[in-house]
Amino acid sequence: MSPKQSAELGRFTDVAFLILLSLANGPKHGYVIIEDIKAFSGVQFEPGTLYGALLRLENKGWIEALEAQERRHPYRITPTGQEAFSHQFNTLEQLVNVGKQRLALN
Amino acid sequence: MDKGSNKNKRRRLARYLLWLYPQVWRERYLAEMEELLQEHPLTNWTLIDLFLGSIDAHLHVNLIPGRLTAMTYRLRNSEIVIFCAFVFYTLAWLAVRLVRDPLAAWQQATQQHPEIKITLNIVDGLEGLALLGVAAGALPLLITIFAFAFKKKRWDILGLLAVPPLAFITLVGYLLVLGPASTQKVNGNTAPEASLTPLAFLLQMGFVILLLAGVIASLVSITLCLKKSQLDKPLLDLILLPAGIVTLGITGGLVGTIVLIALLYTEAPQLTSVVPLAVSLIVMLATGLITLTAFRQGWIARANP
Repeated sequence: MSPKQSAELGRFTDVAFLILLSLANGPKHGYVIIEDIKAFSGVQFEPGTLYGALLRLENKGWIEALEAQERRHPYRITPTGQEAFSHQFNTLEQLVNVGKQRLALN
Repeated sequence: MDKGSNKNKRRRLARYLLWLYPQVWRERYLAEMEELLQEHPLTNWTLIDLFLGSIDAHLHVNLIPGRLTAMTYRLRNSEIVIFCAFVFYTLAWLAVRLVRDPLAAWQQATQQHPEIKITLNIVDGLEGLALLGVAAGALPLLITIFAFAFKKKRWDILGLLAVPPLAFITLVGYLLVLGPASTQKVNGNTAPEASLTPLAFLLQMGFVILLLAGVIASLVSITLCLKKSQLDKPLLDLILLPAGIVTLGITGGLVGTIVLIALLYTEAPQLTSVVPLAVSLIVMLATGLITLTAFRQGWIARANP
């Protein structure tokens, strides 16, 4: 996720990153995404925020909706989405390293 | 208030809030959002978040996947307008055709002035052409709408599609049951110029009102079907061609009707007394102008991606 791409996502940048992280290990539908994110980050998303981010990610082609199961579409990360996610992940890794150095944690 | 009733109240409120989202958003996400809300613990913050989400969806409606582009909307609306105009044009055309009533006076006048009959035949032919255009455009649309409604389990669309046949059945039923009573004349007189009984007059008025109500209800239901279904631009581009045929039929028929009315007033004014020709002509003029404008807009939208 380049700085320009992040800027396009606006206030949904962090939400989008967590959604991509959630989808990194397989397709999930809305409720499972919320529960998964809550489990690994402790952040509880509300449905309005989740769908605001999902429609932006879908619009950018970073995730895609699979065939509906009953009334729910599971979402899957696309190759473009994986690339954007890796980019953002590397940026965060750099931030963590800089933070550790400055706090002299290593 | 106990926790259970609070929960139910929030659930109801959440469902209402989903109707604040744009239609195109609801078509894409409503079903899964409803499922999610069944499982998600609803708090006051959830409701505020849903409300904010609806504003965000309205502000960013262009991001919604599967949306129609502005040009596709314009094209679809043009075709809806042409279809509606055709229906009103047809009602006016049917009224103009009443110049043939009484038949004896019509035959006598057209024997002396065959150009009147020829002009009416041309107007009829152009109505047939317009009808052909409607049929050619409606068939692929109906197939697409049915396929969409069944695939997406959109029973609301199927319900709306049932309105025109139901209106037709109601009208036929009315005619079958009350038809004989609606032609009763005073003192059992059978002469064409004899007056109708008050009951027969009321029944005939009832039929006209029922006909208009049926036409309007059918138009509204078909328009809603078209708006609720996902119609892509290539299909709408294709349907603009039959819409062009309808436009040609209506404008040609309008010119023919103007000539016919001029001929009637100059050659056979006795035929103009029964029919409200001025009203019919105004309706035809209005529908002709509306159709031409809508077709022009549709043509511009077709040329744009």
